[in-house]
This record gives sequence, structure tokens and C-alpha cells, in this order.
Amino acid sequence: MTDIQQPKLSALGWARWAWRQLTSMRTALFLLLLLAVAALPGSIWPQRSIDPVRTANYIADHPRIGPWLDRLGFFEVYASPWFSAVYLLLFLSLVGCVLPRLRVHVRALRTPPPRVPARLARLEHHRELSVDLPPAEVLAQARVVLGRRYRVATTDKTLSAEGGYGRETGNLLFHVALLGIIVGVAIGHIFGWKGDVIVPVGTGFANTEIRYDTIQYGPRVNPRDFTPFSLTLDKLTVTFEDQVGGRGQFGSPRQFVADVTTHARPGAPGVRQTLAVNHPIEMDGATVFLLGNGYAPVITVRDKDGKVLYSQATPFLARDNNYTSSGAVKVSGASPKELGFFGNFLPTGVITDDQGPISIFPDARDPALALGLYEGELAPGGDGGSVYTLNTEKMTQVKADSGDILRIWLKPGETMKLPGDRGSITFDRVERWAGLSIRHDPARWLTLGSALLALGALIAQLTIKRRRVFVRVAPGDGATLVTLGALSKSDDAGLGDVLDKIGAAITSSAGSPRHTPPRQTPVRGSNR
Amino acid sequence: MTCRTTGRALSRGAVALAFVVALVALGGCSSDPNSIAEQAKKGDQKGYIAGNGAIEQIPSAQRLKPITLEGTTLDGAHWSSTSARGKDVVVINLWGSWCPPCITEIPDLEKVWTEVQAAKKPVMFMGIDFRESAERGSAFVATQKMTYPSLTDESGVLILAFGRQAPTSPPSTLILDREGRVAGRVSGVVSAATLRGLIDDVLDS
Repeated sequence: MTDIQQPKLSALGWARWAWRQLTSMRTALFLLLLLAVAALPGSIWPQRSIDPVRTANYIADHPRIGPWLDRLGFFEVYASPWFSAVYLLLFLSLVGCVLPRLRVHVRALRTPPPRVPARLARLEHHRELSVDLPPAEVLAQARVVLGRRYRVATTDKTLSAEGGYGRETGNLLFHVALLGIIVGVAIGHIFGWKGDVIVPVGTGFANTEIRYDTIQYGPRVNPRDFTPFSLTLDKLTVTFEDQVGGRGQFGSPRQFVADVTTHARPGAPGVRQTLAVNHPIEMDGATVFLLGNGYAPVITVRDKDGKVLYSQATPFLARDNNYTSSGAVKVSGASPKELGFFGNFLPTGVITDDQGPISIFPDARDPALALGLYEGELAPGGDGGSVYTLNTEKMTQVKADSGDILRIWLKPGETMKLPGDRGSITFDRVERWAGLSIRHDPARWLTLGSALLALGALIAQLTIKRRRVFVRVAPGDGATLVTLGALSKSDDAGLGDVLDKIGAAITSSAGSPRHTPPRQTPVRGSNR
Repeated sequence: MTCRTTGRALSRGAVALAFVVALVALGGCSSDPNSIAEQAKKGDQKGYIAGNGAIEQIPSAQRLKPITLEGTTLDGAHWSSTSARGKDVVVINLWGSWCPPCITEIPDLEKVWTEVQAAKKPVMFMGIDFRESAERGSAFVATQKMTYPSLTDESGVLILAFGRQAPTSPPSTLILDREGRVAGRVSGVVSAATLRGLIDDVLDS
């Protein structure tokens, strides 16, 4: 064993070393892989930015591991420090890789093509021919064939040309486009926002912070700057596949179309527009997407004197593919005790022996409401909980006159009298609600443009070949001896064709070809 | 061989160091747990965003342009804030029967409303019943014995009238001066004492 002397590195030396490590291709590829791996937890665990409810439920269901996963950022993967670290390092690595290569490429574009090698016959692709054409004419012909896609340098007796710079340009553009995507996504996070609302048919929505059910915005967004547009949902058409063996699976959604009236600002004239899945509406400063739908049964609750206490299209949230939907009706106007109905809306309702009331088809073919009733305090201590469930902490379940728990089963148009002078409940009709997502991403065109550029640049990089073509002329005995040679930086099946084309042009312009076969395959014993 | 092993160990150390540095740097960007974004992320489906109780008083010189709030009351009558222009200070309270903190503050609002009427002060109250049907709102008004009127605003369009001074969470209380400019805002539950003080300040300004 011999002692290996490590050179001592100064601070600058270490920095240079670290930079070189970071900007190496190997590190960049490793970071890219790491980024993909780091994104995996985002598809395994529920994400708070996408579904806060599911995340909260997950943590509640996993009291041991949930809080730890939360602390380590597994529910907000894309905002976690470790994800950001990979992201930023990849960004730096790309910048560090692109800049020096850009310098090299610019230099290559400025320097003239290299001189013709001394022995063209050593190149893999070469041709020799002798023609009755003055040397200058030969070079001129070669130049015409090479055209504008090659940069050409000539002397009296030689021509060297280089083409296919687009390959490296494409490569660099690809990297720049990747940077564009990274920057675009980052700008979207910082300056973008996204909010969700549930809008029953016949009601509307106004673009102001308070109106959103949930809203998330980047650190540089001020919700006061939101543009004051509003929208009314006039009609929502939803169709489901009702043919077994039809175009879609039985019961799968076929069409969601919302007819809306939009106002650019209060008092502006209404504009009728159509909103559909993948067909968003562009408003000033935001894009409105149709994301979800569900049912909002119109329910009226009256007191014992027939006075209306509650009458409203009440959104219920779908729980399964057949839209068995759960929700609550909170009658805070009831007295002396507040009333709270909870239960299910069934678009095509049946009562089964084992599962109780369920829906068997997503469309409203035979709608029914299956509810229970609680009375007491809806929001003890100011905490009402979710609008879709009851907080029954300070409530008791109401029993029917028979002594059993009261079960309410209503079809549209039906009214049921509640026991003990509590009034009545009516299921007036079924409305639908639309789940709208309103988003503002100032950099989405940058991201899209970058993605397209990356694709184009990748194609350029894969198809364009970097080639060098050389021509040398030597005056022979009465004719001109022409030597052609070509060189490529990569596998290039078409390289020989370029030489053949030049050769053909020269011979045809000479008129009478006196073609000499290439010398690299001397045929021994031939009778020539 | 030794050289290569050392190099690898060093590069591993550098990566770990960079990771720790980034972790510490980014860990510093913690945010306010009561901010709207954080409340939304809680996922408790409470369906509204609670106010933080912030009180804002705007001196006369800094008030923005007069606003015009216009709509239909729960009784079906048309009302516009321009009717009070030049005469009354208008207290606007945003509420909903589905919003528990809104219910808690109603007795305080009712108390101050009775007082200003008794003292014959040039003050009027107008509620905005937010995000529920007029029937549901009216039933609630009757049981709570709210005596001041309210505009119905199921879709939230009326809120746009406030422009950049729009309330951001229910309950919210805004005070318009005699010229119709926003002169004070309370985000969250307001107490009778606070409201009284705000009204008197606007009346004096």
C-alpha cells in the first residue's frame, strides 16, 4: 500500500469541486431520477393541497404514523423542503450545464469549418473521381449541392463544409425548455391561485375570496386584486350511459355541460356561455373549470303552523359511483330546539336488506331522500362542524310516535309530518350542483410553450446530424482529380448519399463522365 | 482505490450538507395557522373561513370611493345604500344562519341597533344574508328576533360592491360613512362595545 497524497483544496477549490459535481451530467440525471422518486409519495398519500378532507381523515385514522408523516411533509409533497431541495438543485445543475455548453456552441458557430484533412481516403466515407472541369468549377458545383445548410470555407484547391449545428442547438434548447418548465411551475405556485365552489343550479357565484369553499393562493397573491366577475348557473346537463354494451360502461358519465351566464363585473351585461369538462371559460384574470357535479335536493321544512323555516337546494356529496350522496339540513330557524336532518339522497333509490337504502344508478331516475332527524343545538360552542354532517354532541335523535327511531323516506313532491308538533319536511324537487374550480396561473403559457419547445428541440436533436464534408481538387493529366470525404459526429446512415449527390452534380455538369471507382476497394487481378 | 472511496464519501457528505442547509432554509417559511390557506388545508369541511377578529378604522382622508350596495331584502323590497347617502351612517353586517360565529354576535348587534334608534342617531343597520336562500334567512331572522333588515345574497354577488374592501370571512361588519365610503371594518365577531365605538368615531369624523 502506498500512501496517496491528496492535494489540499482551498475554499475556492472546494467550491469549484462542488460546482463541477453539481453540474455534471451524472448528477443531473440522478437528480431527475430523485425528483421522480420524491414525487411518488404524492400519489400514495392524500395531498392537502388537492383533498384536505381526505388528508384530515387519513391523519385521524392513523394516529400513530399520521402526525409523523405530516411533520415530514408527506401530505404536502410538492411544498416539502426535501422536494424543493431536489427541485432547486436540479435547476442549478441544469443552468450550470447549459451555460458552458452555450459558450462552446456559440464559439463553434463563429469559427469557420476546419481545414481539409491531408488524407481524405482515410475517412470512412470518401469518393474519388476525375472530371473534365476546371477546379474552380468543381468547387462551385459542390457548393451548390451543399446549399445553405452548410457553412463553407474554400481555398483554391479545397472546400470544407460543416452542417447540422441544429443538433446542438436543439440539445441546448431542450435544456432551456426544461428550465422554462421549472420556472413556469414555480411562477404558477408563487403568483397563482385556485379556488373551488359548489354552485347549485339556479344560483350563482362571485369571484371574491369569501365566496370560495376552499381557496389556496401563492405567497405573492393578494385576493383583493381578484377581478369582480360573477356567474350564474342556468342549467346543468348530465347524461350517463344507460345501455348495457353501449359506448361507455353502464352507468359511466357520458356528458357534463353547464349553461352559464357570466358578468365581467357588477352591472356589466350578461354573456351566455357553455362550460364543459375540458372546455373551461376564460374570464378576466381567471379560468373557470367544470370539475364535479352532484345533487342538491330542494327541501322545505315548515313549522307546525305551516310557516317556512328552511327552503333551499341543499348540496349532498356523492359517496360512490351511483351517486349515493350524503348531506345534512340544518334548520337553525326552528324553535324551541334547532332541527338537524341528516342522511342520504339516492338518485335511483332502492332499499336493500343488507345495505339499507342505496342508489343503483347515477342518474335521477327514481330519486329518494332517506333521512334521520336530530334536535338540540346545531353548533355547540360555536362549532357547527361540516355543512354536510351534523355535530350531534348536543343533539338527541328524534323518535317516531311508535317509539322507534324516526326514518324519513321521501320521493319528490312528498311531504312528511314530523312527530310531536315539530312541523313537516317536503322534498320539492331535485336540482343538480356543479363543482367549479376557478384558477389563475400566470405562467401556464410559459409552461405550455416550454413543453412544446422541449418536444420540438428533442426531435431536432434526434433527427439533425452534425456533418463535415470535404472536397479537394488536383489538376491531373488533362482532367481534374476530385477527392470527396465526409465525417459525422454520430451514426449517420445518409452520409454516403451526400457524397454521391455531390459526385453526381460534378460529373453531370462536366458532361462526359470519366468515373473512377473509389480506391479503397482495390480489386486485385482485374483486367482493367 | 483509497482515493475513489474518499471521493465518494466526500460527495455523499456534500449532498447531505446541501440537504440540511436547504431544509433549514425552507423550514423558516412557516405560515400563520389562521390564514385562509391554512384553514382550507385543515379539511374540516366547516364550509366557511373564520375571521380573525381584526378591526380596521379608516381615517376620513384615506377612505376610498363611495360604494353602492344594492339588492333585495329578505322581505322582497329593493334597497340601495344610496338612499342613506348624505344622511345616515350605515352598518353592514354579513351573516348566514349556517355560520355559528355569526349567530353569536347577533345579540350584540341587536343591542347597539336598539340603542342608536333610541338615541335617534343618524345610523342605519343592514345585514347581508350570505349564501342561503331568502326563506331560510327569513325563518332565522324571525326566531332570532333580528329587527334590522337584511339583503339576501345567496350567490355572493353583492359582496363585489365592496371592491378591494370586500369582507373576507363571515361574520364581517363594515361601516359606511355618510358619503357611502367604507370607514371601518371588523373581520370576525364584533362586540357591542367595539361596534358602539366604531359608530361614534364615524359619526364624529
